Amino acid sequence: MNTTTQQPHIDPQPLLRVRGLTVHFPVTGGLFNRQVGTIRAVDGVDFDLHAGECLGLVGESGSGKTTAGRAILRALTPTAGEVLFRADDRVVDLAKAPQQELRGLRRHMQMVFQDPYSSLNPRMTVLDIVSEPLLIHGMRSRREREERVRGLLRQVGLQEQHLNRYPHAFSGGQRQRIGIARALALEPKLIVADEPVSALDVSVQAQVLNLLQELQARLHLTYLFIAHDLSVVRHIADRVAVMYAGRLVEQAPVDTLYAQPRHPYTEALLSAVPVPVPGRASRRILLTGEVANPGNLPPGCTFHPRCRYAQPPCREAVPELQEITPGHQVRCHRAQDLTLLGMDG
Amino acid sequence: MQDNLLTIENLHTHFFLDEGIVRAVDGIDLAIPRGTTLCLVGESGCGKSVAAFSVLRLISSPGRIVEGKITLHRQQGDIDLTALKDDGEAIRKIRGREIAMIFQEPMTSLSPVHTVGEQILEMVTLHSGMSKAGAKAHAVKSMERVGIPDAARRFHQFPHEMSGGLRQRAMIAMALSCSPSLLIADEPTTALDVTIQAQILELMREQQQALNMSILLITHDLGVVAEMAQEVAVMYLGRIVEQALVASIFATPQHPYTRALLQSIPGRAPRKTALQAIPGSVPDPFQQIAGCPFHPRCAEAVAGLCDQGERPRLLEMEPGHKAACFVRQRELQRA
Repeated sequence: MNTTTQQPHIDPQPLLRVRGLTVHFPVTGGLFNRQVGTIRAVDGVDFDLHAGECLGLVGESGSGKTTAGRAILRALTPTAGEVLFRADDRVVDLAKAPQQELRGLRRHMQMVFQDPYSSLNPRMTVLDIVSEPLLIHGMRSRREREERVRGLLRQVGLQEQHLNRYPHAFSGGQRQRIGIARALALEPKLIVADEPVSALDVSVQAQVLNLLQELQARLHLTYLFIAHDLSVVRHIADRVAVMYAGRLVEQAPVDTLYAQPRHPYTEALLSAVPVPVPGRASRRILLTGEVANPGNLPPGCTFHPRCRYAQPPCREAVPELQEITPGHQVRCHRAQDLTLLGMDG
Repeated sequence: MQDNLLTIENLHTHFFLDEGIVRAVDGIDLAIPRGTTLCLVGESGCGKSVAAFSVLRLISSPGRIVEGKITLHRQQGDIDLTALKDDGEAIRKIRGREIAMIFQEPMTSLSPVHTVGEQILEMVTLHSGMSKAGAKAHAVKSMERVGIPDAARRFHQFPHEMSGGLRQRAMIAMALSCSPSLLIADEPTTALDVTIQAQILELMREQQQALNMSILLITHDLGVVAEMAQEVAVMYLGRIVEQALVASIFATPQHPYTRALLQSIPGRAPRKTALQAIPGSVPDPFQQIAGCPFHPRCAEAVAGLCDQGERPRLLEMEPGHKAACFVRQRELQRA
């Protein structure tokens, strides 16, 4: 049962190195549809992801976590920055790679989506859905493809008789398994999972989380796990990166981040998680207002309007992401002098 | 004797489809005391929302309340909601005025083509008979009360001009504008970020105290349950399988389904280990399962005991703690 407890083998060379990743969307308007503003959805994100590791990317809706995930896979083209991906013993900058080169690289990186109801084509059978990437990447023989799909279905806990059914015949959890099978078809190294369990009931959520963990150990997969549920991330991730208004505000190993957050935003997020222990005295930090508008960011630290520790310098200067202890980075002027509360046990 | 606001007795709400009958709610009993919160917990398809809609008489064809009694205890005397016509004057006076409902998606109850203010105003004038100016002041006040900043200006905004959190607040303002004695909240925070969820839960608690309101909270998030509930009822396939005070549900869950639900939450298990998932999924609603409907997924099921005959009855296992489980009930008999 506890096969996944052992620490995964982690390469010293990162599989993915993201530097200064930026995605800006123009806002147009006025008489000649001129650009009147910029939405800074992702605004200079840096992180490394090692092979075999799971990095949790968390933040509120609108923080840019999904856009960052999509830009890394080149589902949309970043405005600036580098996405260095190690494939076939060389390093490629995905941000600048031409479409033709990308097509070949896509087999190494796949995505699992949140909504198992809308991410599968209702007019295709499971066999067609899972074998489509195989066909695109040159597996011509139908027999061969079917054989491979059978194997994939077994791997994700579905049965072979499901092969010719359509998505509507499956429950939410089973559909997510189909989505995972499709992602695994080309034996990718990197999987970007965008809220893969948040549409599922708790009992089914546990099944899918178990499957993801099992597959990671067995196939030596690397996950970028985007989620807003902090308990899920705590369970599955090795490290966590917290995003706020398009920037990383904190990054640390899971245990460190949950026990000793160093950014006030992380502290507030952790305190907002409802804990399944009745009658526990609440020491919740209620954040007033909402996420900063990426079309009109506040000056200085973008979190300062909601921060209860904010001081005058926070309204002026933008803090840098600095390393406080090895592996623990924080973007806060007051990181050194604040003692923040983490989550218990 | 508790001072109950609402009692549900032996409620059956069935849907008559071509493929067969879906017994969405199949005999539940519940009582909600005044000023308290009862949480109805379960996976999708267990009938928790149908139960709530039945209280408001919002079940439409092919669904029907086939049996049971839903009594609203009011100062002017008790009234059986199931006896009312579902489009009659009587129930329409109760909806919104005495029993209000909020949803996961605020656009379920807000109209996209009217300003938020107009909609709250309509509710207030419909139910209170206040003058136009008085009603408007009241509507702005109810927006302020739920923490909508700059309420006088927001009054003239359309729902699409507001953020998700504000829209949720506007919906709550509308629901609470007539000071209902019961608020039915169907997954009110599921679509929200944890930070906004915390604000909304806090708001619901505050308003509950201010209005001495009862809340029927439908959720699948056990963290929210622990935080909000006085009492908890766990539903599975149309029936309540366990019911107790919140502390006792979490400390000594009796039904294997409740235990499994609690164990499947990440955060209780050690990191990076396999979670205790419940095998399979909620069965097809047309399928009739002999004995305990949970037995095909139950780790503790005993052949010959759980897989035949009638469904187990909801019996008291400890004072105030009821469960519908053959295995538990046999253990109790033997002890």
